[in-house]
Amino acid sequence: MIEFKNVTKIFNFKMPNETVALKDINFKIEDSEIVLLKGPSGSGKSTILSLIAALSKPTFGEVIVDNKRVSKLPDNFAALFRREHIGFIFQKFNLISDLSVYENVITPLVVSDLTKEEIDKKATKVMEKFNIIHKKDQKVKNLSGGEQQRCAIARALVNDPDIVLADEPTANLDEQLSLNFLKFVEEIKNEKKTLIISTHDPLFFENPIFSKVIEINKGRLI
Amino acid sequence: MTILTPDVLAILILDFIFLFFSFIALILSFRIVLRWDITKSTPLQYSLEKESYLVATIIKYIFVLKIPLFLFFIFTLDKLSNVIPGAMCAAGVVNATVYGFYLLILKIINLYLFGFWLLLHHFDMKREDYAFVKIKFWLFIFIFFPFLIEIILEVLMFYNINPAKIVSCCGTLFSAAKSSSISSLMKLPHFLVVGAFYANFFLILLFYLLKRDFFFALFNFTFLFISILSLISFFSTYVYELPTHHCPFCLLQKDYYYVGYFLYIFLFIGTFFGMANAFIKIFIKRRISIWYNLSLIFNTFYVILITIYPIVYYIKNGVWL
Repeated sequence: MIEFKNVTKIFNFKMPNETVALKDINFKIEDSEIVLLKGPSGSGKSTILSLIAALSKPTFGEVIVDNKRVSKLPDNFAALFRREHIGFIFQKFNLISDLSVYENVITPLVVSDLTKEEIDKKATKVMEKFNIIHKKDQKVKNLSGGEQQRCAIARALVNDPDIVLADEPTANLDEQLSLNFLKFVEEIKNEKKTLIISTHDPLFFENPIFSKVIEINKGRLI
Repeated sequence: MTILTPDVLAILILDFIFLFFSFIALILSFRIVLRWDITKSTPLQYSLEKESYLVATIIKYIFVLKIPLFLFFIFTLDKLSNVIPGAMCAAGVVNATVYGFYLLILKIINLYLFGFWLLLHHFDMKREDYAFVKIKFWLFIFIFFPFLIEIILEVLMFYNINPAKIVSCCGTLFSAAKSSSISSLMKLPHFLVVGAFYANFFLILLFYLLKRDFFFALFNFTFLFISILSLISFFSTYVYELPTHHCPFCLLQKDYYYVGYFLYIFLFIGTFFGMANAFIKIFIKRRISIWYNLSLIFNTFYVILITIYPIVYYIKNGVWL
């Protein structure tokens, strides 16, 4: 379960250029829920995702994930938490263009204690699932947009996370690729993972696949 | 008159850098220990959590550098003996001012304190609940003062060394004929000193097998003193093959294959890890077996290395000194 308790995030706190990104946010997301986090650009969606992933800490309040106060985790434990529990799909995929698909996919596993064989097995499984195995040795920069998208999803899921966070995953995609992404959402749903998609893409609105919609504007829940 | 060789300058510059950063660390440490409340989710607490990382990193690097710098300090003293009239080794330089002896003792004490802080920090970093943060920074506040005194004494010592003034050499300082507290130690019967040394090592071995933390630490503590005492009064004469030469510093010279560095490193590491279990047990209720093993290994290295000298001498000459 993910819980936000009176979370406020202020960038440059007590500085002249102070910016309130989130104001007194409270919500709960149960396990295996598929959640749509919607709101206009700059409303605080990405800040919510980064707080869940323990990439940043709130200014006030607490973020609790699976009964763990992630907002209180020391940095080294926050990194460990992300490695074990979080898969992240970024708006621009954030793939390493000079590495191959395989090398990109195994990135989250490189620092794990897994053997080379175990890493290989996990990567192969996820690349097969997202139909990118045939391109495993190709450099990412030579892939099409759809292939890059599949590679990014495979990378997010290779460590078998409980929670998948997708930040504007279709912002740079055409309509067909956006529809493809919805198919991946269904696959993730079937795996009983918690998925939070932050977007302002109307394609996702009113879609019955989402069990919960959290709407945010100017840092406040609507 | 001040003596400013490149080595002394390097030490002094590092001292001032360490002092600057440790002052920052001290101020922030006070802020942390006085205002830390892990149950709170306020901006102050989140900011203290971030600061604790910064401060701990500063302290860690100061201490990690200070420990090997002790060897550089000894090396520098030894080197300075070439320019100070009368000094034959670091002993003459230590005794060239009234500060040298206290500085040396304080440096050894600080080595252990810095080491203990680093161990506590190591365990704190393994906990996700910041369990030892307050203790760690209280300990730093406590250590800061001997650390500061060490730097002051170091500056005073180098500032007051007069290269024009003749100093006593180690042969005079560590002579049984002289009437001083050191020379009275030289007069102790050898069987008593050597017996105490091996008995102490046997007790370390015994409590290693029994895994009794407190006694293991206690006898490592006494071993540090008894080892240095027996080194000065008995074993050193076999290293130098001279019955009248008792200097604990000449061992660091090239003539004796720098054996002193090995001996002191073995002794300090061995006794440090010997005491570490008892120290860390105050905070975590478990024994670190590897520290026991490290302690015994290094203490054994020390005992073997120092025992070789009288045995080899006896085999070669058929007599004891």
